[in-house]
Amino acid sequence: MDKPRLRRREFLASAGAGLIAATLPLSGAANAVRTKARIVIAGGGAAGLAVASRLAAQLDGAEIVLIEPSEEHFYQPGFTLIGAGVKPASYSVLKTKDYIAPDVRWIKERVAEFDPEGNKIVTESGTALPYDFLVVTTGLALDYAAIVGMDLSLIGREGIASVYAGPTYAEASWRALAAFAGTGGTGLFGRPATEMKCAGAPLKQAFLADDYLRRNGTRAKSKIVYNAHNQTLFSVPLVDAKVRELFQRQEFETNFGHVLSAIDPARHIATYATPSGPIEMKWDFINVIPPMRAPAAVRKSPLRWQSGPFAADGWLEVDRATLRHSRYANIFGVGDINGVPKGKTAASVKWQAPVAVDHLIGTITGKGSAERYNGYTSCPLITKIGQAMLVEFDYDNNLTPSFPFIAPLEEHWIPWVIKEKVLKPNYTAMLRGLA
Amino acid sequence: MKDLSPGTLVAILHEMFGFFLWILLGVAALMLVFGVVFLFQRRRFRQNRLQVVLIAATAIGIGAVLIAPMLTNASFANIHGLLDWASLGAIALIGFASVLWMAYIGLSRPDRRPLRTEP
Ligand SMILES: Cc1cc2nc3c(=O)[nH]c(=O)nc-3n(C[C@H](O)[C@H](O)[C@H](O)COP(=O)(O)OP(=O)(O)OC[C@H]3O[C@@H](n4cnc5c(N)ncnc54)[C@H](O)[C@@H]3O)c2cc1C
Repeated sequence: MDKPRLRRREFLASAGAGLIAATLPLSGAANAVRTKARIVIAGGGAAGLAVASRLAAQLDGAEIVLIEPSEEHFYQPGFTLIGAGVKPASYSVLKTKDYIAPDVRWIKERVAEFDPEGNKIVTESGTALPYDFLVVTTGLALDYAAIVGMDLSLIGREGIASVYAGPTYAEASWRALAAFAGTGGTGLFGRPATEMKCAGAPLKQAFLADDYLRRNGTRAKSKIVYNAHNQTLFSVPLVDAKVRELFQRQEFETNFGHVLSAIDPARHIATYATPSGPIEMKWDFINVIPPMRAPAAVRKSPLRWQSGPFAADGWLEVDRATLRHSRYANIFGVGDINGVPKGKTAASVKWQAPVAVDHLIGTITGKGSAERYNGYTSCPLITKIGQAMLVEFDYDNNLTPSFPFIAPLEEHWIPWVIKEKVLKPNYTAMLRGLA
Repeated sequence: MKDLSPGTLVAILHEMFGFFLWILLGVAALMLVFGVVFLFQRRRFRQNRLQVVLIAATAIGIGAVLIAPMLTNASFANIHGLLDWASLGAIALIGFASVLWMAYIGLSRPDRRPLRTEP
């Protein structure tokens, strides 16, 4: 009895999605561009799925291939809520297949090599796939190994938390946080010196720990220490000023120019690289956020930046407005992999995907595209369970609020509601190319 | 959240409610049609029913406000500033108005009393 019911539900879900698709301007099959173009999308996370859905809806006859090794898709913005005990690990776990448009061919593999001169990619099994267009959407790689002594198996033990590693690790992090909130002590927070996804997350986690300590009555005997990697707490000056004010209000101890380089789990000692040499700090709770780089396949390819601030970690060299590769005109990048300032959030993906797709299709039709990505990024900056600030900004550090009635730098319940209830359906609609 | 067009909003609601969204929208559309048709008829509540309906609508409006923060893992302590209070006010109003509207459709009866005319 179970199976038919599931099928019926799947049918109803896709029928509903189809109904919506039919009402949206982007999907008019009648307006679809006829083409025999071979398009390869490398990486089927938030960006890859969104791009595949949009291309499938706007092209007729194209051969669209999505290369993604994982059958599970993680809704990563949910990791913060899991790590805060608000949601279970299952909240973030989706099935990749449920978000792949019908006309897209899925190859369950990893890209091992990019060959932009030969217009082909090679998968891990050695299959070469030629393309007319390539969209790079591999996201980024978490480099836990760069922190001496750190190991994924430590998460949830010895007061070590790290929600970035995945939903089960986020749940283990919650156990560590709950234990810390019960006893109190010294909590160490911070962020890596590299580019990172959701740069607001390290701040949110410090605020959430503070909230739980207060709820448990252990805040008075505790210390929250935030070790910033440079001289700011947030890259947007207006937000930075606000966060400093909040840190002061919540009585956080702040150090600047501190980058976590090693941990000693047995002694609970963290080592930070600082301008004046290494410094050791003792923890009862530590939130570890690893350095982030481009995945090896991109980092070792000719597609990476050759010089400048995005070269060292191998980020994809794209034009920041059109998201087209600066040296290979038939290659685009969307999502975390892009070597652009800011823009490593799912909210950025939502705004990058239509731009890259429009330029790709504009190249097929020869009509070009006037679409530009302005660096839009959004971060519901949680300041306690039940409250957040809806911070949105662009490349030029302008605040770009979506709703005129939500002040970006004020703590309210409504931005929390957006984070807790609206962002996930907004995200999955984006994966289907509908948002 | 930028550019929340009606199409996007429906897509998001569909992700939230699945096929149930179409049932909800269907019921809402029916309520709207019946409501508008009835508005053109002369209808009335029996006095005692009207009182019950008003009490129920108020209770639902207040109830909606009381449970809204809890449904989002928050509490009343998190309600802060005009935006939050206005949103709660809107929730109360929607709860109140929905009950009133449903009751109007389900419980009001055609008013067959002769129209009073000027002598
Ligand atoms: C803790 C946390 C909190 C966050 N909070 C928010 C938030 O509040 N708001 C927000 O907007 N964003 C948030 N984000 C960021 C958001 O999740 C990411 O920016 C978004 O997922 C980026 O999409 P992507 O497709 O570029 O990368 P991903 O979604 O990571 O997908 C990359 C995909 O590429 C695949 N891949 C990797 N290498 C290869 C290869 N060689 N070949 C083929 N496939 C490959 C991977 O398997 C993966 O599926 C958060 C992220 C984290 C971790």
